[in-house]
Amino acid sequence: MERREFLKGALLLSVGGVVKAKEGSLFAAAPKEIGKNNDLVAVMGGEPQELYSKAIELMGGLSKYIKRGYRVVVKPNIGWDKTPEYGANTNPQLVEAIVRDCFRVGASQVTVFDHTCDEWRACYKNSGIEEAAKRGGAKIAFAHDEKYYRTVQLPKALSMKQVKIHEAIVECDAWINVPVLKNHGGAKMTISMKNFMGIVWDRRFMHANNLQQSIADCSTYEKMPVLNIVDAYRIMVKNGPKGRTVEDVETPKALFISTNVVSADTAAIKFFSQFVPVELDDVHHIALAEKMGIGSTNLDQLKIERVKLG
Amino acid sequence: MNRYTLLKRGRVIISLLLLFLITLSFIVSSSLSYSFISKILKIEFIPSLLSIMSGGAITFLFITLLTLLFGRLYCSTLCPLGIYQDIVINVANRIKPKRKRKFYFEKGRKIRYYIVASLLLAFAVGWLSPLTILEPYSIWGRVSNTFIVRGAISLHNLMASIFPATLYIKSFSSITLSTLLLASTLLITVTLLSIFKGRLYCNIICPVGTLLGMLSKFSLYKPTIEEEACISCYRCSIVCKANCIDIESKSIDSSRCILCFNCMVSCPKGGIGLSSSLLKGGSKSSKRELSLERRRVLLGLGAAGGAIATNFALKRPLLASTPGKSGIAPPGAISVNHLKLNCTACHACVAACPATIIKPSLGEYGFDAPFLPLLNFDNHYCSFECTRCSEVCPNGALLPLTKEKKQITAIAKAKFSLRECIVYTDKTDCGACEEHCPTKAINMVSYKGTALMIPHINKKECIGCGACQYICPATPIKAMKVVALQEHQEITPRKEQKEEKKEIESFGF
Repeated sequence: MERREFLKGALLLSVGGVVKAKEGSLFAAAPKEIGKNNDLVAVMGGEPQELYSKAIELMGGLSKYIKRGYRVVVKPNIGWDKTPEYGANTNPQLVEAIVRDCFRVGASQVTVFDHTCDEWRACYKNSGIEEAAKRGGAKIAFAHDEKYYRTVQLPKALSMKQVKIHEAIVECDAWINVPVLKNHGGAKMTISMKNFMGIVWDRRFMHANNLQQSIADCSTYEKMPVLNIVDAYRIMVKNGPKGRTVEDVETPKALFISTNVVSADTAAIKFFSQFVPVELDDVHHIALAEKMGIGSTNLDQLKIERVKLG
Repeated sequence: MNRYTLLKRGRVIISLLLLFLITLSFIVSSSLSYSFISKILKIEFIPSLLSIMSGGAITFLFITLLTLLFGRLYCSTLCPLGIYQDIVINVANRIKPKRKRKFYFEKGRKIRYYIVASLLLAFAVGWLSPLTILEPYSIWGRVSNTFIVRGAISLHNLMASIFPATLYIKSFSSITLSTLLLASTLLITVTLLSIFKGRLYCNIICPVGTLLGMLSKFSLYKPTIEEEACISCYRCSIVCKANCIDIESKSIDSSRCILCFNCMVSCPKGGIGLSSSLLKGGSKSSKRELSLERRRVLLGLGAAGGAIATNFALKRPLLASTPGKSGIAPPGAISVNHLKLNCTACHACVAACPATIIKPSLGEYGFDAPFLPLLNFDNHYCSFECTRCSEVCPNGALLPLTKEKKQITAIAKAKFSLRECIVYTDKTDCGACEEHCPTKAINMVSYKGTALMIPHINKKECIGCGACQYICPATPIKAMKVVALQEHQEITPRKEQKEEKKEIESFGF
């Protein structure tokens, strides 16, 4: 069965490739399965659930990444004791949509957690994520104590060779990284790679040991997320990552998905630059990750699909 | 069943319920959903007296009137330490050999008046510590916080290790040695006294007991022995844990009676009851004696009122030692002096802080004010959205703050030391402080024109929440240090300019 699908996909892809090479306008008429091999999908102009379902469809459907019986972790950003309109945390509706989709494709268990910065109970509650995740049927994992973390070696890392990672991530079959797109005072930008800091116990160590390299080092972890889903429904354009008022927030209603952290973050930064100019090189952890072979910032090499809804 | 049996049962039920709720408040007030229970703390006497200007007046009047009507009902029904002693006495009586299950009449001791006088004198000059250390509600508060809350946390964590998915681990439950010593000393003293001597703590040491006892001399209803009915069987005297029934003279010392109703229940002749002092007769000489004593007591009460009034007039403690500069008073404290003048160190705020950052002081506010709450940023920082400590404080030491008010109340100021900063020492990005700063008083500026960014503090916008100090990764000395303000200040937050929201058409890549 899988082989047949693979052959079909490969065939369609080659056809599609030819068609695309000849005439871009024909591409729209090409069969839907073509989308299954996108490296990156960008959608804009819809509510979080709509953005997600369109984007995941163009990524080939969640079942491509989450198999029946998988124990899945959905890792949003729940760093701050802020309500959704401040854009400091991942959109709860998006989290709920992903959780529901995980169960739809047969996940046996979905866990949602983040190692928060502000007091964790307030973050879980006021972000709306705890409630949304539970509504979707997910379990909430606690992450406020060192006891919930396990030591993991990062042999390919340059600065942080050893790190304590949350047990839910260590034990799961697959995890989905769901950052929110924000400006960040220390790391310049916080997107997919920076969101890894929420699976780590000792963030002070990262800050004290070449922050940008330590962030890149996290992405050498052998168990990478199967998908990086960047929430850009609301984006924090200044005073990040916590933000002060709703004036820090723009609402472009967009979403990016990629299997690769570096690609996802590159696309997100280019998108963000339309609001506040950011040079890719200034977000140093991305360049470091590229140098370490984690992914490419050259979006031209990727198969990208861009869709505007509504 | 006679009416005193009913009264006694009612008293026992109410008192046990109150003790349960008060203790429960200490256990659960740090959780988001149950903090309303701590409103129950506001029913206590010293807290109501101290917060008389800030919401305690009704409780204070209620307790005063209650005492003027019936005597020290507060001590047997509302005081958590009193109820605790009753439980100890009850349990001890079940264990003791039968012949030892007896109390004997003792003469009232004058020393209690000297104790309360010296406590009130200290209080009058703004030195609260002696009073707060011996005051019964606060003793129970510290016992709850030190033993019961910690015990509950240990139990909770044990359960959490059995059910890791449904119960979370409660971190940072450590207590300070000084509080442990204080709480255990008083708990052991009170426990031993009640095992062997009944309510002796209440009738010698407790300032509230003595004060209410003085008021009780004027109460309308008093427990009295009907001379005709009394057969001198001593049953009432034996069950009197206040040791205040004198069978020889057939009199009950109303200043020490806590109205437990034990005597009234025990009398086989139904000869002890509450009777109105207005209707009571008596010989002329005893009346004169009574009125003389009443005058003395009235004088004492007047002096006590004066002492309390003097305290209220104080802006700062008169005899304070050189103020320690390092203690950061929780939000709502107004100033270190306000805290010193109003806090009884009951540690309700210590137990309630969801971030567990409130710790009892030792010498941080000066050695005249130990055990008062201060903020410690080792394990967390003061949450921008949280006003819990000021909500639970029954004393008016931490005045209630709205969230908006709290967010512009500076309790301390951050101080940056460049030489310790990671950006300076390692030449790498950090920004942990700026990231956590809720007011953005810290912002990152270019370090010597390079791409490296270094924190800069705009002190006017800093509220001293301690987030920057907590998260600063520099070791062993932090680059961000939050320094206490003796007087809390109101900051003017930066006005955010309203900007046009941008509309974009493309994805930008």
